[in-house]
Amino acid sequence: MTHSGYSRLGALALLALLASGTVAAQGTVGGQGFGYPTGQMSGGVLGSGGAGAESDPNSAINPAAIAQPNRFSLMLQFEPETRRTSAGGRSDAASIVRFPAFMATGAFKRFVGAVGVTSVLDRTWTNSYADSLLIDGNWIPTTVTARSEGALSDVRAAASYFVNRRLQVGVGLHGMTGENRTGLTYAFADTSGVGAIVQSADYSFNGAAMSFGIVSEPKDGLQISASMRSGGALVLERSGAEVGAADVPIRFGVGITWAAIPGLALSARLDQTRWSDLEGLGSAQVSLFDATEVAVGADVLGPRIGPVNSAVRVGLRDRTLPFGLAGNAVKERIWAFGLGLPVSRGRAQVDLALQRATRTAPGASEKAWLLTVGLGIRP
Amino acid sequence: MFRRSARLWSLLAFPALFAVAACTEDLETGAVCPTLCPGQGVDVFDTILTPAYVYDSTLVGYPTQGLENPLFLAARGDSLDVRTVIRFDTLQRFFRPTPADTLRPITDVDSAYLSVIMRADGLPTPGTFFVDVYDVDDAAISDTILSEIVPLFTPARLMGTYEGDSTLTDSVRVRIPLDSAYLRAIIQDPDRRLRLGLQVRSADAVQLRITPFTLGVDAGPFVEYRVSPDEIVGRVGPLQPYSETPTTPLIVADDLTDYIVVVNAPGTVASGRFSVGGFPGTRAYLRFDLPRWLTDSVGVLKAELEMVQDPVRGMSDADTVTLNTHLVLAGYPITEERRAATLLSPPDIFTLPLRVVPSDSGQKRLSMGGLVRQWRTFDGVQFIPTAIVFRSAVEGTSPATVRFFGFDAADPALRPRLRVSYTPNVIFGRP
Repeated sequence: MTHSGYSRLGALALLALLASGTVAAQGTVGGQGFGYPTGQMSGGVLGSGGAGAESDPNSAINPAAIAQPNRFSLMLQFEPETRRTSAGGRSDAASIVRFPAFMATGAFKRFVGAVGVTSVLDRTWTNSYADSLLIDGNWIPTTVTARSEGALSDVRAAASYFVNRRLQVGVGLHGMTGENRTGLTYAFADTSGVGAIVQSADYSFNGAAMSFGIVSEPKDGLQISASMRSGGALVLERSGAEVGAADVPIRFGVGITWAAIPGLALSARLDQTRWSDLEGLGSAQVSLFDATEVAVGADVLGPRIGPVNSAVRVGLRDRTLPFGLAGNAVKERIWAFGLGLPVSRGRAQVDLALQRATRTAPGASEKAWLLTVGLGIRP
Repeated sequence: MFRRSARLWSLLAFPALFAVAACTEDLETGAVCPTLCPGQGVDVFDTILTPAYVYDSTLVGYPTQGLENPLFLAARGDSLDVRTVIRFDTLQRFFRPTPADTLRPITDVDSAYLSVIMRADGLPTPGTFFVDVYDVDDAAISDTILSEIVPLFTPARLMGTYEGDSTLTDSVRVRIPLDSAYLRAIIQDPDRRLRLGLQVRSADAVQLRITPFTLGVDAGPFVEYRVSPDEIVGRVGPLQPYSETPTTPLIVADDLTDYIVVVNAPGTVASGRFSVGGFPGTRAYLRFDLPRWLTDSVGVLKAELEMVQDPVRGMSDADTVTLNTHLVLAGYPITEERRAATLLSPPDIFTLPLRVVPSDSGQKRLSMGGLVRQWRTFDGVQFIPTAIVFRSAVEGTSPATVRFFGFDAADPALRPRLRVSYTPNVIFGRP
């Protein structure tokens, strides 16, 4: 005899919700499948909804854009998120701190090089809940604890070249790496006579990709940028054995920034990531969706702090998340507000971005606040 | 001044914000599960293995003679007769009247007694009972052999008697007077030893526990006697038990300082069944041969050994007996069952004690999921034997015997079964 491990009530809810398929989910709407796509963008552009990411030197998007500062710099950021997830008439809250990006940049004549690490898919969560298992004809109460830690990360080495003052080109080599450390435990009361189920598995990613980009300024005040990342193989391993294989998703993006009036820059970006290239990395139950991302934003020159102006940013971003819920796509809309605060006479800058994200899928929703703090240093 | 202060605050803001945010991480969710967590389910399978195991055996003679704790005296008509022997192989044969005197041989013995801590066990103490103490020393015999020592319990060798009554319930130290002349004769003959055999008798059934010597002079038996009518001369004693034989191995001599002799007890061993408890004490040895898939390919959630009890009627058949389960730790090279049934894990570290009444019948279940999990194989290798031993918690001190139908019971329906619930080894984490 066999029977599912879910409670009767839970099983009914599950069947209703997952009639068109199942995924290995994590109790969040945004973090399905292999996790939440952090966007690989810096705190500076996240304040304007990521609209200026194609030309942002601190975002691991366009390798040509790293030429922008044209000097040695360091950038790191962290990103706490607090979210409330609702599904089936119930809701739950969680908070997480991510360290999604680090980058170092240096220049030599017309060349600029950069190395950095960014999170592509963050998969860190813990679930703990009461359930029951039908064992030997009796429903036995149990406490289920499932967890995952880690991320798929992008280690990028990029180089860009100043062709002339109106054109930069760049190329990037990406090593896709990282790991997911997962565990599942079913614990039973001592008096039940039932032994615990304890499973754990560590997965590692191994892949490579290349990216190309340009940043052009056809006329003063107007900047047009474009980039693409072409995927190589991406392998998922458990204890050194391959358990899944796919390609690094291809990504295309184009952005435009227009300095409409002095002190105001308007940006827009269109990005397409073919997440379906990940098919084969996970099980057949994972539902993948190619994602279109649209972002618009504005940067306004703010009050001076010392000799340097601060920046005030607003933006809006709409995108499809790569991993669906019950076979349906998860949509995310983000309203963003940001500040760029120069420190030490412009030798450093703190970029703050506060984002309000709403993620929706049929039968479930999630609202999140994300505070991104980026620190850039130009010694 | 203001600008420097502003810069300072700006620099401090970042780590402060960092610290506040980092401290508030709370990943744990669960309210929306399992609705949003379908990948976390497991399948549970139930199955019954018949036969549950491949071999069982009833091993007689536990505890090993000399290792009984407590010692035991019983007299229940023609059904049960258990006696105790205590050895005093060294006696004080010289004394010093005063500290300034020289040693001189003991020529006078008076007020001799054996002191033991005794209490009732299992039965109400009868209105009157007697504990007789015999001289059971004979260098020509082996006093651990039943047929050789029993003939020594004769009136001619009676050294003393203690008369007790129903007030003896809890532990109490009693003095059993010894015939001083008899003891003097032993003391004066350097070739004689003092080995005392204790036998209880009563018109009604009587069972008594005696604390053994291993618990020390405060709790164990001892002998005392006077060697002079002069009160100034101190008593000899307490003399603690001591055993000189066998000379090799010496540890056995130590074990046999005191021990019990089961003169008469009902037999409980029957074909197609295994027994636990009783006199002489029995243990059941069960050897399993679990299917490979159970030990290397699944996670065992629950395993229950279903056994059909065969009622044993007679002495103490209404008592509740606790059966302890021991994992056999003896390695594969040890093929002798009796030895294997001695090298055991502590009781019930992977199971729960099983409480049964000897006269009861029907199915009994032993939860042994923890044991089966210990028998997990790695790359097909079984590191410890898949065997267990059942042992009575009152082994050696109660006639109560529990019996179950074994793997070779004539009726297949009565044979033990192993009911197992398990979950396949699914690898969690790949979405």
